[in-house]
Amino acid sequence: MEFSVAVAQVLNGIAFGMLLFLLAAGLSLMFGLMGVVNLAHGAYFMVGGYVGLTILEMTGSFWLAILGGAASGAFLGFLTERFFMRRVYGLHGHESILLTFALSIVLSDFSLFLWTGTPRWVQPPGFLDFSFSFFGNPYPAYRLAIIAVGVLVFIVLYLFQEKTLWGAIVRAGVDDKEMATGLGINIPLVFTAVFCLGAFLAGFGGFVGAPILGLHIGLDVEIIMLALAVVIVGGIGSLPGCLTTCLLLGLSDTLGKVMWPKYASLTIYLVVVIVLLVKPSGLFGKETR
Amino acid sequence: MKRKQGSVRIFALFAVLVLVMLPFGFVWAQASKEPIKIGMDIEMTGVMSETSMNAKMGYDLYLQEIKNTIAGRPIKIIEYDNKTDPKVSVEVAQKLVEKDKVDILCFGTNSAAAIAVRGYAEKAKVPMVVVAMAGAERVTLPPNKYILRMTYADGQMELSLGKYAAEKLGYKNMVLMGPDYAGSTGKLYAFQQGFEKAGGKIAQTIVWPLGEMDMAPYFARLQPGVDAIFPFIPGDISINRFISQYFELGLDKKIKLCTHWTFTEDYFTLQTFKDKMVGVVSGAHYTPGYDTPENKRLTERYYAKYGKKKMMNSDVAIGYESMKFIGSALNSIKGNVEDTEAFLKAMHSTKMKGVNSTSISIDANGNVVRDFFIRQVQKKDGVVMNVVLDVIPQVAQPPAGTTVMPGK
Amino acid sequence: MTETTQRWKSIITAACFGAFALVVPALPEYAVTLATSILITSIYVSSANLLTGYTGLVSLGQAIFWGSAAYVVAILSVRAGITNFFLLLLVALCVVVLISAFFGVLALRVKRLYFMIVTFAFGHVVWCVAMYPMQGITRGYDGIKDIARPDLGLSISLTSGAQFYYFVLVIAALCFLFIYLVTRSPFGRAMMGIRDNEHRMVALGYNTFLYKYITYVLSAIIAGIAGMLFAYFNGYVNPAELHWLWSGDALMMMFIGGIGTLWGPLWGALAYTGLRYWISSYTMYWFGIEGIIFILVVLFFRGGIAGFVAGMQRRLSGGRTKD
Repeated sequence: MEFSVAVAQVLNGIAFGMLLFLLAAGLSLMFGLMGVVNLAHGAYFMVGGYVGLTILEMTGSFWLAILGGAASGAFLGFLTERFFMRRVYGLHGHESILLTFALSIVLSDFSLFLWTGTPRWVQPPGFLDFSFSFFGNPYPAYRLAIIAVGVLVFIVLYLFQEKTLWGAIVRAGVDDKEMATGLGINIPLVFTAVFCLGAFLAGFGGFVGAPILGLHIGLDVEIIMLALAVVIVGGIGSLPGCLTTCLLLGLSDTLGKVMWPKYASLTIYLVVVIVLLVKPSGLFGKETR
Repeated sequence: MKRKQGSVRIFALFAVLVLVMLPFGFVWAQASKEPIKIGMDIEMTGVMSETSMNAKMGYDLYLQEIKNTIAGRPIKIIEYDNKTDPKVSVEVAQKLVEKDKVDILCFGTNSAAAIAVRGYAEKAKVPMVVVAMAGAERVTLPPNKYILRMTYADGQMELSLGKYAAEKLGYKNMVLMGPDYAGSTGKLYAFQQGFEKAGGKIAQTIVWPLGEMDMAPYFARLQPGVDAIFPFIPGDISINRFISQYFELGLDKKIKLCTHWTFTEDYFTLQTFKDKMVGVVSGAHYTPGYDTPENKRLTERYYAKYGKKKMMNSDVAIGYESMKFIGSALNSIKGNVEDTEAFLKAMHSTKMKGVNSTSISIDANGNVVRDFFIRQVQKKDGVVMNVVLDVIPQVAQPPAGTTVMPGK
Repeated sequence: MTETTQRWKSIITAACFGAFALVVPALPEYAVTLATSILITSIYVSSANLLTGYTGLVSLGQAIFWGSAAYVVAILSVRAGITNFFLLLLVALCVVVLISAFFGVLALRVKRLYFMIVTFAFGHVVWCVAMYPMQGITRGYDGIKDIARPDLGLSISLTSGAQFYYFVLVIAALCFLFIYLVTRSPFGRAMMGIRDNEHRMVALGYNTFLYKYITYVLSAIIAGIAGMLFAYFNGYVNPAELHWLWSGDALMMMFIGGIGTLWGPLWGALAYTGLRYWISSYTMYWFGIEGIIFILVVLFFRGGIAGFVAGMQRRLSGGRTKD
């Protein structure tokens, strides 16, 4: 493989990892804070993409579409948390998985109803729809934009988590819920807010990722599996850890497709199995839950 | 629906009783108004849905033309979505045959699913007719009298295209690209046969899991020094992705494309990529710009029914031809579809004019025999369109083994 | 309710099911097909039920055993020409036991939620293996077709719908009977003890790991039997039979039917098959509908259909009873 092509693949892997991060950040937080595994997260991603597409078609504005997609994600997150998750906090962990699994099925069929089963595509916005020369070969500017967006989101989340009061509250909740409640923190409100934030990011990711991944029914299942793999392998409680794992998995997935397509997917999940058996708290995780 | 069927049944019973009393001895179902039930096991969702839905537009056009009646009997079309999933395709076939009791089982696009459904149709002894695509060799070979394919078989076009690429286009080294399933590898391998027999050499074959949307990793594997790519991917969106990334990565400056007709469809890729596609040579069974009276007539009727949103295309043509062929066969047996032997025999002996093809008929193995064309994307009077360069008349399915990639 | 009344209830329920089951072939062809499908699926769901309902372990990996057994039948009978049912049964069960024995040792070491995720991940690995590296044997996405009905080596033919249906019925009855006996046995009581309070069982001196392990392997065997029957029934096997979504379906059916009950799996299979094969004729969103039913069951009707039926029975027999 030529050098420039190799570099292009690495960049693709990183870009994909960034999209995963948008999904995994929220998922990781939900798991860390509330002990719930939200399988519907992938559905927020997909629906966010579809809603964004519709808004784009109706208004022609890429920015409005991003906003709309993200907002739809947040809305779904709110509904999920308020009406479903509240009932299963404190029960066995598998309740949340099953419930959100069913929810993702319902959302998937609902999407099928609204947007039909034909796969769709989103064109990158005009100002990013070009390729510039990179080591002698063209590379699409949009993918670089995704990487930039991912870095930006990471920085914002990190600052939020480490430097703001809200962030401190969330961290306290993750570390010790009872203590946090004892200190007078309105945990249920925090839960809802975290859920909405995570889902917001998912919806956002679904639309900005659409020019790369496309939109099709079934995207929700495909993407949630990888996001789950990230959360498991990377562990919870560490945002940098989450990002690192996302990049690792994004690279493995992309480079794997180039170099060993027959074994790529398999390897990733074997790693998941091994991590679960050897160090369930993940590579960067803090405490076992 | 149930009530209507019930009253139809009673009328039919009465009519048959009356007829039986007549000293003729005819047991033609023509006397009863019992509908001819045709089941459609097609892709309404999933990666191959576009092809099947286009074909549906075609066969709906034909049904409209004959006012949904053949030999005095109404036609009842029962359609179910198989979600471009072989497992669901088999379930749908079971449902159509056992629950809805269809007389003819029609199938859509997915080769892998067609192969699976074929196993079921053989067991159930129900005629199965492929009407949208499903080109893999194993759909019709080894032959079984119940299995018919109106569309095309892998290799019918590719062998000639491969030969053309080596001899007329002067390509020496080519790459094959496509997803790893029978419907794709069959076409790739057939092209290889045609190409290599005429002196060319396939430098690489790049395959990936079906359904993948991002082609970048696969383009990354291209070796330098290759003249052209022959790709095959099912589904318009995936094709769009492929071509999009092909241009995005600047590959058009280094490697040419020599393709299946799905990559140079006037209604889709030519509309999207316009001038960039000029020069691409492809093989096809239908070209909108190919002037025949049938084409003109059908195109007019197509736009009359569906409007100008989507251009007339090859899937519509095939859907139309398939159903018309079935209609023709049914007419020749006076609509007596219950006599399966007679119906199958009629299908084998029917001959009709195609939309582009001079004649369409069925070979001994149940696969269609039709004309194919080599065409090129050119700019004529400011319009980017396909122009036919060469006609390959009356091609039959290549013999068994020609299109099965080793190891598959 | 006393022990005897309970036992009579079970026997009468079984007799009712049995009587209905025997009459099925008199119905139209498609009904027989559906009934066969329901029976096979119910065996599969009861394997999941054995694991979850009685031991509390939730696995997203039952499809591994269903699919592996189905592939054994497909590969050996179609590609290798070995058709004797009993031989295939032996091989399939060996394969299933080997996989579950190996994987169980590893998976059972982790706690509930992680157990579920690790079974899902392992299931996905197995699916990947069948799709790509082992493609030469499994035919990957294309799948293996033309699987004939079982060859018992006797003079009985199983090719007709009704004949095969009875065959499946007998096997289903045996499986349900087996589960019934296991759950009523001391072993079964120990399992339920582990489900309710593992620490207490450990304190009482039980080797809880061994009990869970044996149950895991047993549930794998039953899932494998179901998978074999499926291969014969459907005539076509492809990697979808190994996919974790199918494991997920088992869980949904289990909940909808009534977790931890003997007949729950049958109800769940009935609901699912009814939706997939029947309702799908009228709407393509049958799976979404199933999702909604599942959510309602999890949130409001935790006993599932079986629980609902039991509640009706209680109300009809008048007065309160302790179940």
